[in-house]
Amino acid sequence: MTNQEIITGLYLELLVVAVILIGILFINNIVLYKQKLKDRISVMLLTSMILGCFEILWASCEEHPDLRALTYIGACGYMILFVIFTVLLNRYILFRFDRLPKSKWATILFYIVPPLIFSVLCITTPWTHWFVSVDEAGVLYEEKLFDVLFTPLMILYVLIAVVSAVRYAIQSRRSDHTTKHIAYNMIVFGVLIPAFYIMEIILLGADSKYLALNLAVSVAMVYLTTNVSTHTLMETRAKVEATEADLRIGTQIQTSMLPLTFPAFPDRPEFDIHASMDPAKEVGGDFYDFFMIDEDHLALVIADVSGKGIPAALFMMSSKIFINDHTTMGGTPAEILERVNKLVCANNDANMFVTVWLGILEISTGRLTTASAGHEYPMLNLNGKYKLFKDEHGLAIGAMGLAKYTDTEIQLKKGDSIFVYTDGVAEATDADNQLFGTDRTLEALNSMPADATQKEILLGVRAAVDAFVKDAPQFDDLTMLGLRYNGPKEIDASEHTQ
Amino acid sequence: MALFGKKNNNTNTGSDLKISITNEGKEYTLLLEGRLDTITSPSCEKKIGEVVGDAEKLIIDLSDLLYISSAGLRVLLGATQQMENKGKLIVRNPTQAVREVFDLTGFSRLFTIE
Repeated sequence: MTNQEIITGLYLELLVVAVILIGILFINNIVLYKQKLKDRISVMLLTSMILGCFEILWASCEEHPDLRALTYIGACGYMILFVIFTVLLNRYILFRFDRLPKSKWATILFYIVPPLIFSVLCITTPWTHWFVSVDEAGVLYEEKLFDVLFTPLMILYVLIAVVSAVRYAIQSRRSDHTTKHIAYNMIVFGVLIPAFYIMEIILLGADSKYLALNLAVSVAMVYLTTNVSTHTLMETRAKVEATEADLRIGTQIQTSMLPLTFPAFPDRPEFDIHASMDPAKEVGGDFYDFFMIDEDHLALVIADVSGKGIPAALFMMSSKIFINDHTTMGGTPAEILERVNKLVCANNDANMFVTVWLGILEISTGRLTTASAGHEYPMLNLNGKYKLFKDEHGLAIGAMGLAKYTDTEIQLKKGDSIFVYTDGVAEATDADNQLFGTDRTLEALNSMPADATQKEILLGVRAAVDAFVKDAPQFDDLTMLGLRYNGPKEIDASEHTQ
Repeated sequence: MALFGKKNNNTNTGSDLKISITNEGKEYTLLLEGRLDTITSPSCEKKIGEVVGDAEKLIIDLSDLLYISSAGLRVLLGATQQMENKGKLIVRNPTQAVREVFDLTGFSRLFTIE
C-alpha cells in the first residue's frame, strides 16, 4: 500500500468517524434528553450528519473520471447543506439571546432568500461551473464565485451570530449570571467551527483536499450538546434543591405542631404519657396530639391521613386544627368527630380522608371516653396484660358528611394503660412481605416489664418493629401514643375539676 | 422484549396491580389483582376515571386483591362519589384481608358489598 493510499484511507475514515459521532449525539439528544425532532439542536445535528454524508460522497468519488456525476452531486449537496447549517447555527445562537428577527419579512430576507439563491446556483453548477468544477480527470476545483460569494456569506452568518453573542455578554456581564454564562458558551460554540477549520487549513494548507469540515462541526456540536444538557441538569438540580428545602421546612412546621416535650405534664403525677412519630417520607399524614381540655380532662388523639406526602400533610394540618378546636369547645368524642367530619366533608374535593381515634380521660375518676372514626383498634392493658380492644367503629372522617359515631366508655384503674398506633406499626412489612401484625405488637407490649414507663414501652415496640422488618424499606409512617393511668391525686380530686 | 414469546403473568408480587376492564353495555367490571397501595393507586384512579363517565353500573371485583392501603381506599371512595348521582357502584367479593380494612375504617357501611 502506498503512502498516498494510506492517507486517503485515513482521511475517509476520519470523515466517517465524524458522521458517526454526530449520529451518536443526535440519538443521545432524542433518546437521552427526550428532545423532539423539531428541537433546534436535533435539526442542526441531523443537517450536519447529511452534510457529512455528502462530504464522504465527493471525497471518495473524486479523481475517478467515471464518477464525475457523483462527485458533482456530493459537492453540490455538501455546499447546500453547509449553507443550511450556517443559517441554523446563526439562528440558534441568536435564539439563545432572543435576538431572532421578529418580522416575517426579515426572516425571509435573511434566512430563506440567500439559501434559496445558493441552492439554485449550486444545483446548476455542473453546467455553469460557477462554484465548482470537476475536470476530465475527476478532480474537483473551486471556482471564482466560490471565493467571492460562498465563503464570505458563510463567514458573515457565523460572524453576526458571534458578534451578537459578544455584545450580549458585555451588556449582561454584571446583571444576569445565567445569560452571561449562555453568552460565553455561544461565543465558544460559534468560534469553534471556524477555528478548528482554520487550524486544519494551517496544518494542511488551503489547497489540501484533506480538509474535513464535518470534523470541525462535530467537535463544536460535542461542546454544544454537553453544555446544553449540563445547563439543563444544573437548572433541574437547583429546582430539586429548592423543593427539598421547602420539604424540610414543611417537616419542621409539621413536627412543631405536635407536642414534643416529654415528660409532657411533669406536675401531673396522675398519668404518664408518651408519643412518637416517624414519618416515612419528609412529610407524612400521621399525627398524634394530646392536650388538657380543663384541669380534669385530658384529650388524646391519634390519626392517619390517606395517602402520603404534601397532600396528606396539608390535610393532616387542617384535620388536627379542627379536632383540637372542637375538642376544646366541648362535647363527647362522638359529637366532636361528627362536627369535625361535617366540616372536613364540606370542602373535600380531593376525596381525602383521615382515620381518627379520640379519647377524653377524666383524670379524677379514670373514666376514658373514646370514639373511633375508622381507626385501628386500641390496645388496652386493664389487668396487667395488653389486649386488642374492639371498640365501636364509625366511618373515616371525610368520607361521608352524615357519618355517625358512637362513644365507648372505658374505666381505667390505677396502673391500667392504653396504647394507640397507626397502621405503620401493624403493617410494617419485612423482606418477605410479612406484616408485623397486631399479634406481634401485643407480644412486644406484653414483653415489657410491668414498671416500664410509657417512653420505654414505645421504644420497645419501635425496637421490635425494627428487628422484624430489618432492612426492608417502609412506606408507612410509624406513630404511637401510650398512656398509663396512675390513679387520682391523693388529695381530694374534686379540687381540680374547676 | 419478545425474545422468548412468553410473558410472566404473575403480578401478585411486590407492589403490582393488574387491572382488567370488561363491559356489557353500560355495566363495567373492573377486576383488580395484586396490591392497591400508594404506588399502584394512581393508575387505578386513572382507569376508573376513564370508564366512570360512561358507566351506569360499576362493579369492582376484589376477589384477587391481596392488600389495600388508605390510598387505595381513597380511590374507591372517589369512585363511589362519582357514581353516586348516576348509577350504582358495587364492590364484589373482597378478600378477608381487604374486608377487615373495610370494617376497620367503617367503609363497609359506605360501599355496597356483594
